[in-house]
Amino acid sequence: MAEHHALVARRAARDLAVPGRPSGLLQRKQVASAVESALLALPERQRAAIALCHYEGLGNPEIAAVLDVSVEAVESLLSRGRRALREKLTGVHAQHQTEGEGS
Amino acid sequence: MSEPKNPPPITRARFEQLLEAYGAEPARWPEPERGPARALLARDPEAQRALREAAAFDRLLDDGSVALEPSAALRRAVAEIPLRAPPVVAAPWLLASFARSALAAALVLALGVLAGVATAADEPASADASGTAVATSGSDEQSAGAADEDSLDALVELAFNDGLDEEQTP
Repeated sequence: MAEHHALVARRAARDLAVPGRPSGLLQRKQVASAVESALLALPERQRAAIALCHYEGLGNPEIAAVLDVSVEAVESLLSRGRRALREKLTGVHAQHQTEGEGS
Repeated sequence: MSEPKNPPPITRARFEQLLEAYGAEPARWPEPERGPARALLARDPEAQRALREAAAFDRLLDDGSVALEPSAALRRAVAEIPLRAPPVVAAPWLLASFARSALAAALVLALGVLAGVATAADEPASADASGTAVATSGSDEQSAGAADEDSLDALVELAFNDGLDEEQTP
């Protein structure tokens, strides 16, 4: 799973770096593929916390209730999850920032 | 209900912890710390730089959620939440029956929490602002009672079949 994730992330970073490669939706799909792969590689509670906070917009108390953990534990799950995502998506993130600055 | 006191200021280290956990969007930060965090942000260039970095990573996650229609993945993520008796499984998304029951339980809790927040916290916008698949798909069901098993089953069936259809489409 980790190897698959790394492969997808490297491929996405490489493809994004190729000049003249089609942009727009294709690039976004490549980014999305890398992000999804990184999310799926997270431990399930970290993944759930990230999904509920970042994508579902729930607050700490709500996430704590859904996951049946303390509010403090939610923050810990989120921190570890985002840190892991950043590490897994380093190459994609750098390229994504470059693309954003260039557009 | 007592009036909230003036919250104490936060340190830059705590501010960076907020960014680390919640990202750059203040709406995701714990409510009591939003004011102090904004105050720090207004006067600390280093905090502003950290915020910009966190915002860039947020954009990556946001962009990553757009092109692949994240609803199926998010439904899976919600469905995999271990509730009360965490299962030990190697590939939980393959276990459809568990996923359905967990999704049902998660929907009950999420709808209940959202309904409670909307009514008890005197912030009706908070439920609307979430704009989520869970919240919107369940909004019509809330008045009928989230605990109603028939309507819940139908809701879960609809949500889950949608997700499966999306996933099975080549």
